[in-house]
Amino acid sequence: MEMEKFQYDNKIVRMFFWATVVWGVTAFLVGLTIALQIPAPVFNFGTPWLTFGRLRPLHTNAAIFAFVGNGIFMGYYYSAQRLLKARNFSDVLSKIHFWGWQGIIVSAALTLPAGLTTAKEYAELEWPIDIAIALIWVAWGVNMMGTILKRREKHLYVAIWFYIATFVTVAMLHIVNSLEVPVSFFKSYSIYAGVQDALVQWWYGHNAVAFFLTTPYLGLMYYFMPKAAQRPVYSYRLSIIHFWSLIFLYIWAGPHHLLYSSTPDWAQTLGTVFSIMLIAPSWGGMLNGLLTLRGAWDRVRQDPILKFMVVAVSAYGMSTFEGPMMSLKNYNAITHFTDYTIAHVHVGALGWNGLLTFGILYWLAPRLYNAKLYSVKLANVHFWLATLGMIFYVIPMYWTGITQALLWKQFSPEGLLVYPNFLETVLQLIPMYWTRAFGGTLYLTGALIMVYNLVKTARAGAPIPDPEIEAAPLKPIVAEAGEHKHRWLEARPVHFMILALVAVAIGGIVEFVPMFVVKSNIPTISTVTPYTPLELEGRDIYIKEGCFNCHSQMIRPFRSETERYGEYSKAGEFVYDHPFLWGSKRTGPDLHREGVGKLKKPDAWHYNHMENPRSMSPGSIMPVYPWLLENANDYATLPRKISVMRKLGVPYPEGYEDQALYDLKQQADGIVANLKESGIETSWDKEIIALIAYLQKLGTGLFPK
Amino acid sequence: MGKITNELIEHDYDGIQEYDNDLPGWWKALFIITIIVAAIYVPYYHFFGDSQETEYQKEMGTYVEANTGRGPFTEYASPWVGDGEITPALRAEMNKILDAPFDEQLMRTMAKADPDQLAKLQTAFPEVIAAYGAGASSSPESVLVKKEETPATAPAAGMVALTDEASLAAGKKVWETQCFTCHLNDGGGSIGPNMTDNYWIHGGDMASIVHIIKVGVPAKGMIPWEATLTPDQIMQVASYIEVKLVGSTPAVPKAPQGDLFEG
Repeated sequence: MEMEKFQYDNKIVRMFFWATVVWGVTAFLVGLTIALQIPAPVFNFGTPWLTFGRLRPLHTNAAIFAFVGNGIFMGYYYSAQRLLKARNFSDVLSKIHFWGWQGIIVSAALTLPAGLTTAKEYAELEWPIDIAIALIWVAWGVNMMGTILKRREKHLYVAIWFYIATFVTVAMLHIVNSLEVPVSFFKSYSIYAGVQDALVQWWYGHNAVAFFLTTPYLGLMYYFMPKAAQRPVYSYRLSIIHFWSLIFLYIWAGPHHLLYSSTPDWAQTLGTVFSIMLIAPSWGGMLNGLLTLRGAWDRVRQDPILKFMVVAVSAYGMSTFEGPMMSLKNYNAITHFTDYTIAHVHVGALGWNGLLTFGILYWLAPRLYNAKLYSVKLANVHFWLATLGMIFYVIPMYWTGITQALLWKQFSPEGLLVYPNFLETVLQLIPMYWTRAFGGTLYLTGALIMVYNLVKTARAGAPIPDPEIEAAPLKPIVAEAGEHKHRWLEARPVHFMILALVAVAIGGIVEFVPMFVVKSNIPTISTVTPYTPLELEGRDIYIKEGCFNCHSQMIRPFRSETERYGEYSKAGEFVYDHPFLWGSKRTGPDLHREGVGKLKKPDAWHYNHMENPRSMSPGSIMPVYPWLLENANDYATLPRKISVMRKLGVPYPEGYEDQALYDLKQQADGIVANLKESGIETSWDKEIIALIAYLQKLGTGLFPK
Repeated sequence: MGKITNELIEHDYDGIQEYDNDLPGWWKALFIITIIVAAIYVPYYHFFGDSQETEYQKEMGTYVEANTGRGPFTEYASPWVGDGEITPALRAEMNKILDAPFDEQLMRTMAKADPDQLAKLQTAFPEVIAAYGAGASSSPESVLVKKEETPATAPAAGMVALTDEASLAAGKKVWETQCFTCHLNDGGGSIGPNMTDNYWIHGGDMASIVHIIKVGVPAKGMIPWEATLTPDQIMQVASYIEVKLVGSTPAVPKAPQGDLFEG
């Protein structure tokens, strides 16, 4: 048979290689910064751009989409060409993919600190960037499917299965969750409201973890681990079973982020049971990784690359066992809203994603630059710094989570909360926050040592030219007698992709359709009214400053919460909330009843508290927001906001656009007059006025003034 | 472990080979068990178990089971205050009577598991025990009416400030950790009114002050402290206001609000 000659594209791999390194260090650095901001608010530097509420999304986006994202593409472009025996479908698409993705990251790094955010976790970027993400993602998908179709290898290897599933699922998740109506170039409102928005968001959020941080990395594991260990993969049939069960089951589990919330019970039940069933499929990947090392364990002792990989896969196993445990309602009642979740995700992020990436980087560097790794010793030092850093990070955070949950729930014999002041429960945790920051410092130091090691390695060698490869062209695909059914599928990539899409679409459809169609899921509350123009603008300031990163608006039906905050949150209260702002972590107290009952505070309290939280609650770790008192709000887009909201179903009367600013000023004047009584002189158009109006609105849906 | 044959599939991808070993037996068992657990979980917890709301009502002791009467001492309920039945203050009072003042003990007693203790409670709180201890047979209305009469929640005339140094020191501590944010440390007032001038918006007698601390004036921003401070603490801080703050000279006094109290 005639052989075809072609070359692999190594340059694109090198480009993603260095992007992974640079963005990795950036993500760790921002992470360390926000870790310091918690015990020491001075690290917010009193400037809007660097406050925790704006930097925390920057950290998560940088870690997920910049560091891991580039890591995925680096590993994909190296492994897929070789597994398919074909150069990438289009070098132009590869370049568009690379520069497009970096452009998205840079625009995220500029817009998030500027306070431009949709408030949806891991999907904070505003609509123009959302469109860019969809386009670039599809560019990658086209490039991938094109390469697969012109491959010279009949069957698709398991790594490619995971890449295909990643592509179709993330495209689906991103597009459905990002549906929003623009108000201006930098502002949009989610088309979903309240409970529905929450369900869509956590369907996305949970599966971003699944299909951005897990499945593509399993693909990388299936290539780089047997390569590094030089051992055959343990079990082909395990690959098949855990692949399909994983992608099918994962999608359903999203509502486990909403346990004991206002989400209907049936959705919560689905979230719990599908999480339980995920244990074995997740562990299937870990097993196939670890058992592949049979006969190579002696080398694990010497080879830092294998060490990184072994700890990474073990961390994957731990966090995928812990996830289902946290999905049990009784355990979730303790862990949710606390640092326990933060610890959990960092076992995955620092351990699984971080260490596997490091292992791959060390494996690739000599191969991309035709030189020996500059220092195996430094790689070993990095391994220990990263592992210890992870331990110093997660153990204090587990401790913190459990401690704080118990403090929140503790009652005195008289039936009163022992720690009625939320702040008291925070102050107990400060030493642990410092320990976490220490762990982060170790991890970052290790990464910097890696940068040095990789740069030295690259300098010692030179970029290897694209290798000349010979392979026979693919023969026409015909079914073979007695062929395993899955072998049949592996030879048909389009069928494969469609089947994968069907597998991941089912869970979402089954959960969404009843939630959007059956009215009883969200019982109407007659006293819930739309936000007034001033409250709406205040809500947008709340979103802009990222208040939801530390304050939940979801009081769970526990005595310890209703005693502290007031009546628990009801689904019907959120019907005008585009987007929902339930939050996922309580670094500060819940705010859902901030405007009613025993939590209600005078306007002047809020004014002074925003200027300096420590003047009103000594020891508070909240950042200062003096600019809210200075900045005049720009109400130019108000009419547009009203009409967008009306389109989304909020019952503002026709023509209210013209009335809105007048009403806004009336309400603002009332607050200004209130403040004046307490000796505070300000004017109606300041941002603080709108924010106060919004805070005073919270909770009034159930308890009208 | 399943059968490990270590038979290679005749095939390699860029040098990577695959065995086709059987799945580990414990892994298969784990998968099957989780599916069984899920299959049991749904009927057991979802269809036959308590809804989230019922769970909450049971925790609060406000759960009303169809046709079985009501009361805070059913097998699920604890003696926590629910929809206005036994208040925390009343519960604290009842606990004081018992030899082992813990809520578990109170619950056992009220459930008539401990007749000696029950007799003590009966002497001290005849009406409450009649309402609850006798098997929760009396109508809930009578209990609610009784609650209205409980002096703990309404201003009672003739309440006198505590004057012992320990109580005033405790009151000062409460003042300086909670109240100062709005009324200032020296009581001169900022967001909240001046506490030194003996002008009062809601009455200057001890009972009125205690009452306002308890229930607050939410419309004006005064927080209800009932759920945060113990009854003793409320008494102490009210006494601190009356004895120490009224008549003192703050650095920057806020203008008087309300009426001069001449008591």
